[in-house]
Amino acid sequence: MKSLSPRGPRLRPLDTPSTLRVLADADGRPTHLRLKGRVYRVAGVQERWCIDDEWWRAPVHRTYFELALEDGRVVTVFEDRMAGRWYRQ
Amino acid sequence: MSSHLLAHAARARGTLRPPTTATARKGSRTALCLWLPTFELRLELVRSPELDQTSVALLSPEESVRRTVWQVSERAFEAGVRPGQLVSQAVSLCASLTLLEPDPAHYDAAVEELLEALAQRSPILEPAPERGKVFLGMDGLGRLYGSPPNQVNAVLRCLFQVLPPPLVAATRAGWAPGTFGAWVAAAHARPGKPVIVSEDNLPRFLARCPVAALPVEEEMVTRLERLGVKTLGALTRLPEPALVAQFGQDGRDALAWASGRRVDPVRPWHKPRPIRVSLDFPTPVGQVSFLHNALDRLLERGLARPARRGRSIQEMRVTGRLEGGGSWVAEVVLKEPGSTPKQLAYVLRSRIELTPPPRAVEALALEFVQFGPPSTQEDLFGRADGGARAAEGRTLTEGRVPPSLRKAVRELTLRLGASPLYRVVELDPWSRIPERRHALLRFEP
Repeated sequence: MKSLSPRGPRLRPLDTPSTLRVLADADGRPTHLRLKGRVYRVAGVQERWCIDDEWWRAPVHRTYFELALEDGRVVTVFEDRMAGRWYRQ
Repeated sequence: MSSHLLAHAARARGTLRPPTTATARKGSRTALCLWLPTFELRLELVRSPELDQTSVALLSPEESVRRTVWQVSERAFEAGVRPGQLVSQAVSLCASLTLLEPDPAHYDAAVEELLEALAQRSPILEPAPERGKVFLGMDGLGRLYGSPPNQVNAVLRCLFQVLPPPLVAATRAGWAPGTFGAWVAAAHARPGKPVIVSEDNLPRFLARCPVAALPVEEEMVTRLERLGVKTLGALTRLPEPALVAQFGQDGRDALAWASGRRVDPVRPWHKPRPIRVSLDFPTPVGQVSFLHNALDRLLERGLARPARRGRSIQEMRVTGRLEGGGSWVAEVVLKEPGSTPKQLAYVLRSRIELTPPPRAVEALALEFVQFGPPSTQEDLFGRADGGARAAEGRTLTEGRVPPSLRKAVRELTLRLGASPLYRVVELDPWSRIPERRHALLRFEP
């Protein structure tokens, strides 16, 4: 989240996804990801789900993964299938 | 040394500092001590010249049921009146004794003026805890004023700016390496005849001085005298292990001072600029409850001062001008720096309950003397003041914003131009897309 300058807009987004560099296997499951300049191995996939929404305006097609990293942290990432990019939620 | 000076040395015990590290040992090695004995009484005699040459005693500023004598004039001393005697005892010894009430605010103001004048001569000033004694750092001033006697005269001349000539004439000056040496030199000096001790002569000069000059506990001095050690020279002939075995670290310190090995530099004294607010009463106020209300108002005004913003208060001073003359001072040092009116008011009220003013007060002043670290963030959600927080699951709604939070937002808005606080608001809480569920809305209560 960017710093909240007092002179910015009155309404700001929250939980905006940030781009992420991910290495996925042939099945599209993340195996490694880079966080703050460091590469972490994915220890396991705890959850996976898809959302397909807003087809009537800007379609949203995402595949979400809840990942457990090698250091024990749990992060939620998704692949935007329209843009072909990975994001951290 | 006369009994006067011994008594003064006894009061001065413990005012010299422990050795400091090399890094902290900044300051001036060469010290000039200016000492005006019975400083407060002399100021009173300047105010009331008709009392000069009479038997006068200044009462002690400490409040107790049985008042004692603090300082006495020469005439009163000759009549047998001594500092520390009860008033009844003093009056019985000298029927014509005039008793004066102390005015600490006036004495402190005089000290401030004195220090401002002396700052023109030396950048390093260190006032002693007791008024009437101050140390000046003289390192490097030879190029400005010349020889040590010229330096001393230059300093004494500037006293005329603030003190009347008789008081300047009565000031004693001692010039020596270190504050202890300078103080002993000043104690030996006569008015108008400063004592100047060089580095080489310091041990020889100190050797003649009585052990009572040492800034140690009175008990240690008494024991030394009972052991037959009357002078600092005799003390230096004792082996250090024996002194340490008897007196511990004090013994080692005493030996270092007596031999001239320990030279405490004059350390620069930085006085923070106090914040002062005052209130004049249309009629003198005697009831403590009225004083409490007045203090609450003064606290509010003082805390609202822009100079105080962001700083917590460590020490406060309340001064009252008393009906019929004189003043009353109460000083408070907080264990933990505070910045809330409630906390500061509690401490002040407790102090005033312990030492209330002796008479009705015509004017009241509050000073923030020492400041602590920047104010810690107050509890914005004010649980204590019945704020909007309640049991789990509640949200902070507009109508239930605690006053503390409103005030904080107002202050930040004034400082930054807009409120930097945001609150989380729901947009579409059931949306499948997470970033559509909530947003941040600027918080402007």
